[in-house]
Amino acid sequence: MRRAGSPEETALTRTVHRILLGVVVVLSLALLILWRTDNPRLERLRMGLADALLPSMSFLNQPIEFVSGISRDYRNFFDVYNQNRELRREIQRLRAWRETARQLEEANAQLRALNNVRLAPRTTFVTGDVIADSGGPFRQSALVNVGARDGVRDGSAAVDGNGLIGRVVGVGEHAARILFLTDFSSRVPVTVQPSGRRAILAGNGTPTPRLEFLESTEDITPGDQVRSSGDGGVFPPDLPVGQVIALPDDRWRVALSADYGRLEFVRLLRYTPDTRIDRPGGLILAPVRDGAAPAAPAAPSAPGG
Amino acid sequence: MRLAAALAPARLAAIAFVLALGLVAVAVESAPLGLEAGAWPSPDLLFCIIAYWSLRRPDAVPLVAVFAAGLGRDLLTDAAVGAGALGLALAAEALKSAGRPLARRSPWAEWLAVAGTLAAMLLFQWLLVLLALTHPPYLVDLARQWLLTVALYPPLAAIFHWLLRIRRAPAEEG
Repeated sequence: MRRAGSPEETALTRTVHRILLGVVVVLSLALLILWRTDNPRLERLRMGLADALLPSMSFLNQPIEFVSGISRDYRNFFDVYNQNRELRREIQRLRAWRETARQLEEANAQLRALNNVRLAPRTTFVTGDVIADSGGPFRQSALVNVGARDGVRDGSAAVDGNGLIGRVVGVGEHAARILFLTDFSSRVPVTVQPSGRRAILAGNGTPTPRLEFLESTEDITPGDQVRSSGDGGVFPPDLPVGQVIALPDDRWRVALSADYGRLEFVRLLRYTPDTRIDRPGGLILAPVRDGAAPAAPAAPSAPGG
Repeated sequence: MRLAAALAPARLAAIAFVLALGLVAVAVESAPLGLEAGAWPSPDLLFCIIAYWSLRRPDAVPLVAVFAAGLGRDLLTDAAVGAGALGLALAAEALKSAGRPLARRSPWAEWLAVAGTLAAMLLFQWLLVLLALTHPPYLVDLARQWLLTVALYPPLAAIFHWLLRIRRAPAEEG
């Protein structure tokens, strides 16, 4: 019989420990590979854990958010005077724009009637609280307290009061994870206005993501508006993203409209792209079985005109 | 270690306590403060807790429990799954082996050992993310997290010492 602390037992304990360490190393590397290949089971596990721990996390975060809110309000108090002056100036500018917009709206309505253009389906949204962020420097994302139960879908666009902040990359029953535009792995198709040039907004871990794959830089100037292009049908088109800025490194960057520093509430858009047939593949019908009537094409979701 | 000792209620209670504390640490770390890119990251509170217990009560932070805590954090905070957990588990093992030699030395030596282990752990995680062909974070952000965590360790250790009265592992007899 072996005694506790005997040399045999110590050797056995060490051997078991080494085997356990080996298992942990192999398991970690396997999980890392699964994570890298965007394994859906891993994402489900992630969101399942977030769903399970969401209530306790919200409870623990409340005092921290309270203290942070006091600090934020204190800063806001000193900003109020300057903001007021700026807002008065903005109102003056917007009054002039309102008249222009009315005229353009009338002209637009007439042109739409002439062209018999079909309007895109209306985009609905759901608003949630930001309850957690990634904490560390490895990822720029946040967890919000709305999920599949509220109609949030994978890929939904997330906006704050000023513009696009990112997209949903994981959906649980009661929670969703948003990947910010600033994250290294974020890529969003955009257009630069007024030139209409298309590009990809690539996150680079800084507050000013890069504009990549720009068609041409000739008619791009700092201050141009950057908006979502809607390419790929994931995001609605024309969501404000930011303004073009030129940095000394000769690359075009975007100063984002969204205010990540004061992000408390997030609006997640439920967008269904237009069902218009724009390529020949959309005309192919389902295969006809023997004796069965050919499948009828799906009715359009919105009446034309 | 005998099976009976490994499954002793007191030990299991200590493990559960450390894990519960770890969960609180993860919740605090992931509080939505400083969401903008370039903001200072949160200090690694989970590492502080695991390091403190590894140096004092290594039986309360077994390898599997540390790995589970790290994996839970990886999943909850959208980090590279496996990289954080492996880094934390290896850091805890390194500190456990340094626990007894450190017992003879001053708290400064403990602080230096914790700071060195944390730096190695962060660089290891950075390297794993790089090897996974993903863009790793900027080293300046890692340095900021290291600085905050190292600065937070002594007050946190003092609070735990004051509240829980846990002493460092006894030094080995010469």
